[in-house]
Amino acid sequence: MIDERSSRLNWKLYTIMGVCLILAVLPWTINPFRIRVFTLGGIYAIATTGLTLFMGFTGQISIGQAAFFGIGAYASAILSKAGLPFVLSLFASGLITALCGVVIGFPCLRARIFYLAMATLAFGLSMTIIFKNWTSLTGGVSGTGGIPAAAIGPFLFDGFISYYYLVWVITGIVLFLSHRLTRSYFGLALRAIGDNEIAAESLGVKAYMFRLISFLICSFLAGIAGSLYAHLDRVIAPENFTAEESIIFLSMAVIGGLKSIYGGLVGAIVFTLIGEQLRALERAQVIVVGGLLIFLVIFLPKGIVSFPEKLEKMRRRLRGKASL
Amino acid sequence: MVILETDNVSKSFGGVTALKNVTLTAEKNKITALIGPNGAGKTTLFNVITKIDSADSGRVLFYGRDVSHLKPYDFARLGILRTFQRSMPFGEMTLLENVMCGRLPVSEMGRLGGFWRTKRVKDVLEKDGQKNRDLLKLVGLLEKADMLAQNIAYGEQRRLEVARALACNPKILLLDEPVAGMNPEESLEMAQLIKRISESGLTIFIIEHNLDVVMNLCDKIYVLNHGEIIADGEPNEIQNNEKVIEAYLGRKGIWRATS
Repeated sequence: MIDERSSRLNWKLYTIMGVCLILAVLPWTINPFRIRVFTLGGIYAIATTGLTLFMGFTGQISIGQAAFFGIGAYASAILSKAGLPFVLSLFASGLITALCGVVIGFPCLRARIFYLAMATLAFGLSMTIIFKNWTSLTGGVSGTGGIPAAAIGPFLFDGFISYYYLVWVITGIVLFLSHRLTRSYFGLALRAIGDNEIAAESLGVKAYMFRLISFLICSFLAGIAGSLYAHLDRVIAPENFTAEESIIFLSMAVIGGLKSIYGGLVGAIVFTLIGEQLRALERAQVIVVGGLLIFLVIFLPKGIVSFPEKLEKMRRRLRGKASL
Repeated sequence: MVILETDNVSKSFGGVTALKNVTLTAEKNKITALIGPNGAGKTTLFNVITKIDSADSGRVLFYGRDVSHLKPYDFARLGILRTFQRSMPFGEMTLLENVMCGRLPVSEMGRLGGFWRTKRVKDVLEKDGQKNRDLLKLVGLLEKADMLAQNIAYGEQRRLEVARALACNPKILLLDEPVAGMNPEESLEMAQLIKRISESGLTIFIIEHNLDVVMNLCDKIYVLNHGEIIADGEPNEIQNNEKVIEAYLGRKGIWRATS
């Protein structure tokens, strides 16, 4: 029992070290364009982790993540151009987005699951229109450019490689904190709500309040990711924050695995890799991705992170058959 | 000493009267039962007490204090814990985690709920963990502590729910048909468990269908029919009450003959 636990711990440690190593070496082996793609993967992982925290743990659906991502990006663009240092602008845009999350969540979270999905979808659609038409603030359809490069103190992150590392370090911190969160009693309460709200309330868990807090964290992370996105190409436009993008975030969270905090990371990386490999297919890419989604949802409903578990089950079944 | 009291509670759904001026009390360290045929309004009364439904009129008093205005999530902190007729364990959690959930309102974990694993948090986790394992042992599920709740038998899920409620240090435990759908063996185990819990000094209020269990277990029985209390008293009084027999069997005497 104890042996099994410690070996599982080791296994986890090796996986984390392996992933870190690959991510650390990666930018030296590929061209700048691909480095940018993988940077984007890290940014998406942050926003998707937020979504996993909200959807996976409280059992709800949100189709508005790209809108929060956009709010974070525009807030960061405006603040950075006004001269706010990068770190402050990063946190400020996270907080502004979290505030928007609370304002939206306050009425919307009274609805559950499908109704909440509709409400967040409506929010996402209307935010796209606002991004396009509030020209004085967002620059309208053509977007906002001239966002200064990220800088922390004397260090300037204006190259592809340096920005890649910055993003992944932040992604690592976000993942670590999210992991701790899910292991706390707060995370336990969230899972209880997601499992059975009435039972959770009978044990003193204020379901609505916990959902709201988790929605706040979800939008905070979307805001942080948006801010990083704004500093990636240093130009943003409304088409980056449409409902279609929200659905991509949703897909990443689902195929990665909603029940594990690392699902968002896995989903974002897999999506990025697929998008990268299938670039040549152009429009047909969507069909392939769609087919893959269907396949995964049927055969790995708990997401790619559940693959080892599934493998173990299949192995056991095979062994069972052999012994018959 | 009266712990829980309903005072003229009425509730109707649309035109159907589920509860009509229900007044009853649950006394300290006793097992009080509410019995009645299907659809008599028993579960509705539990739902009204724990505010899952709200009463149309009347009050619920806990230690003499009116608790009718509270929300469902307030009762655990007060010490009023309940189980459900359809068992509601957290299926995707292990048994140990299920019981840990019961600890949520009373743990000394602090505001951040153990976000940082400080020395204090580790101590609390250790202490809580020991208590949780003791509770699982009490309900006879310790050896399955690491299994998922959805993978254990129905009767075990019901006992798990009791353990989860106990983790909250309740002052009164409301059990909604604890032996419903169980085989005789499981029923007996559950009855013994309830007896043990009661003897450890907990007040229990139980809704039950199974008269055998109730008659052997309870100190006081209320009988509900069509939303009204038609009789109350000790088990032997109830057993011979003609109104009760009629409510259960529609015709006199049969129940006495079969029991």
